[in-house]
Amino acid sequence: MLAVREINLFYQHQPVLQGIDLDIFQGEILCLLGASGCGKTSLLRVIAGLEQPDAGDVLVNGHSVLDVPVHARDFGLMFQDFALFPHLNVAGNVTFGLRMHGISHPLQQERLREVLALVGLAGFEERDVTRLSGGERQRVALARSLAPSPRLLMLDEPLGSLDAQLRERLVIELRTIIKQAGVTAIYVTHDQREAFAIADRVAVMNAGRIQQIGTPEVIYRHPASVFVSRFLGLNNVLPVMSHHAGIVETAVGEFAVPGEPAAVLLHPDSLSLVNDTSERLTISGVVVERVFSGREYQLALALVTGEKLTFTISAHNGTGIPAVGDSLTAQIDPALVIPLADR
Amino acid sequence: MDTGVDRSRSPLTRLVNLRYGLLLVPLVFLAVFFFYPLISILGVSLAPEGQLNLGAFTALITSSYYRDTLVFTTVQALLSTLLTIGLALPGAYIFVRYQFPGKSLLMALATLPFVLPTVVVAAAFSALIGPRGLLNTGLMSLFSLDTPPVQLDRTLAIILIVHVFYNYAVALRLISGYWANQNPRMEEAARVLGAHGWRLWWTIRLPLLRPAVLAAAMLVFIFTFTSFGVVLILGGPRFATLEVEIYRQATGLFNLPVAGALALVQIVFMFALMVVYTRLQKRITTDIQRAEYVALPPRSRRAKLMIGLNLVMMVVLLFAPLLALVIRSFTAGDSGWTLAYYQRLTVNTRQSLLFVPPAQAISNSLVFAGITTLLALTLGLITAYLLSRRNLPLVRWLDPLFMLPLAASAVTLGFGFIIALDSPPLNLRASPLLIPLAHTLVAMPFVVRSVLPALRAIPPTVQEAASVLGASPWRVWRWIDLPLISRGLAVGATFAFTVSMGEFGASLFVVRPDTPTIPVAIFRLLSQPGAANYGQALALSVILMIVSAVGFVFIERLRTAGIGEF
Repeated sequence: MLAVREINLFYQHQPVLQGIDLDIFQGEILCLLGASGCGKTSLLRVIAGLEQPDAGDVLVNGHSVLDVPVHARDFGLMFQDFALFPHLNVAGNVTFGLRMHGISHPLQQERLREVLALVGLAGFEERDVTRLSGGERQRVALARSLAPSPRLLMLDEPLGSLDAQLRERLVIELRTIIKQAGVTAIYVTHDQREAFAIADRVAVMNAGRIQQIGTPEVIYRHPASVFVSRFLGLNNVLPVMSHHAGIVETAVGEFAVPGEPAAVLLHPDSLSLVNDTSERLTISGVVVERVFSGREYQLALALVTGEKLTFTISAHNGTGIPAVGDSLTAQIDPALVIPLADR
Repeated sequence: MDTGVDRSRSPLTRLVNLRYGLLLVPLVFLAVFFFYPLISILGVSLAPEGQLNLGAFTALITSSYYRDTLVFTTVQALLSTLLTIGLALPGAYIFVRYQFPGKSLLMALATLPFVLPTVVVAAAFSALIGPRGLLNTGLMSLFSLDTPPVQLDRTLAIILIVHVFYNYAVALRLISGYWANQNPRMEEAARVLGAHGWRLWWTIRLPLLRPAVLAAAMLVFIFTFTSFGVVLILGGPRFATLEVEIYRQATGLFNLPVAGALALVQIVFMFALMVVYTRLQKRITTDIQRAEYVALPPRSRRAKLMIGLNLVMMVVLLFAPLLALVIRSFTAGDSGWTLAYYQRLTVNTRQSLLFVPPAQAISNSLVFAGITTLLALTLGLITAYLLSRRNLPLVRWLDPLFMLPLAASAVTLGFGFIIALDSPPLNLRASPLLIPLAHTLVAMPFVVRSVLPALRAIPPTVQEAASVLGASPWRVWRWIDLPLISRGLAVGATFAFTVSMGEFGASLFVVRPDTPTIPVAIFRLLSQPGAANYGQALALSVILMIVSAVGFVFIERLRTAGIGEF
């Protein structure tokens, strides 16, 4: 539906976006995930038409929209600060886009009731937007963006200014609403949990580039690079010292992985305390931390070679969980040793 | 409706060009009605006959008369400043330290004098302590005297008193505002270390207040240095500030080169003073600390006495003249209350120097103020809109340019108008439009200053949100920006209207004999003998005072209502 091709953007001679290529399919929710300053908001603004790129193109169904001014692009954008119009009430805010599109008054009212019901604010028409709670303002902003039925809905950290508890509840609701509205959406966030909860596909960004695009499961199970791995909090990254015929050598030992990776990730789920097959690789070390979090334990191992690796073990493991100070020899599942590119 | 798909390669460039086109409107206005008159003043003073002739400047330097004028201007300004600050300091002290009933109301009311037109204030003081004022007529009938016992008219004293009346609240607000934000611990530390009484004032309070006191003093000095109406009306022929002298040389003696030279001296002084003031003000705003004095009810007898003395002084100084003005306008000599002065306003007496009934001045002023408001609002709105776009190049140095008319005195503006705009290419001498044009120059900076902060306070995302929702740039302006700045616009319009209603210095130059404004009519009536003329002057002053006061209340309410709204 939307295609972004080779977008470059400079701000005061500093590159902000470098060679961005991206396809968004009809009806999907794509999430741009990255730390602040990585360029994800700038990319959103380029797509919306609020910034002109220095190179590249933005295409909707194969036609370039670069020369279409912001107000004629027929996109929706929900801002992080919501940017509600303080001089209009809830109804005035939500119907603003409909008015700008010349929709008749009765149809405006019908759509208003429809989207307010969709976001769970039925009956809020006459309320003053400056007197709403954070969560309510967020819903009004969402209803306002959805009301004109945009071809594409963009959400810029829409939960960023809300507190953590509210955020967890709203993110699931947000996905339900977007899916019910059947709108194609780009969702920008720096929060990995939020991204995984809402997105059909996630694009991880860093320093103006897209590092990896894929479903949340693929991104989490198979991070493509050292950056993505560490960004997701998967820190068991071991630099590759040498590789030879499908075997790479690290400080911890040798692993059979394809290609010529710069590093390998020992996925936190890869540790098994059960001594079942000899095929598995063993590592030994001393438990230095043990954190219980309900359904699982986090164990930090200090290896004899000096590295510190962290693994999660199911609390229903059946065997005893080693205590801090215990020596441990355990197996690594070779399927969860992930090759990482250097970047 | 939507213009549809715009296929021109760069819509941004076209928008920028459009904005520069808009910019031309206020720029051309400034060029024609501000810079061109200023240049004409330069011309008439340096080359009266078309050739360079420094005669006028030599006269200024060699003649002891002009030197005395400059000395008097400076000395009266210094004395006024010292008196004002001296009275405002204890006032600020009690406002910062103590809580007492009616405090915030008094603080708001104390600002009223500042918006009153000079002719009204001159008339008010005349009605209180002038030879025909309440004090003298009262004393004369009480003790059966033949001559007024209080002889303050045409003295330096009455000029100074009126200057204090005008500037007291300005100094009070500036100093107490700064003081209230200071850290009280510093003073407490000094007291623990043994400072008290006068030593506390000299070693701690005054040095800490120095930036605010200096800024306030500078502002009062600027206002009193350019004092015109007060000195002209109450000072009599003996006293002349630079402003008064420019007026006398230009209109009484037709000595244009000297008037021009004096105006140039005045402009140079004003610019220097404004530069110093701007620097001082910057310092005040940067070193404000976030600790606040807690105002407490007074406990000691000394504190109560001090508050009482200050309050009595404020009420007498600020409200007695205004009250006297109202009372005296309804008092007919010794025959009690009368409405005669108000009724006579509609009568065109044969011996009147106005050519028209005084009431005509009221409708003239209303029409001029209406035109001024429209012009100032239009030009001010365009200017503010462009100044709010910080990303447009050139804008940064345009900001001070549009504030320049504030630095030129009204008398200089009026003088520049009559010498620049009375001959081709621009012959407007006979046009009644000159008055609203001059008033617009004075009022426009107020409009810009009221609208600009409101425009800058609109978050860019709000405008972007409207754009994304399908609003073209024009519709963003119409449906988002305009409603959000409506309060600032109303304040600016009220400012423009009241400024125009009360403007005196420039009007006196450009007014036509048969279309006087209210202040000009008051001035003419005041300078005539006869109880009827005097009474009508006071009646007109009361009317003008009410207009200004209503405008003032309106502005104050709009401003306070704006706090915490969004």
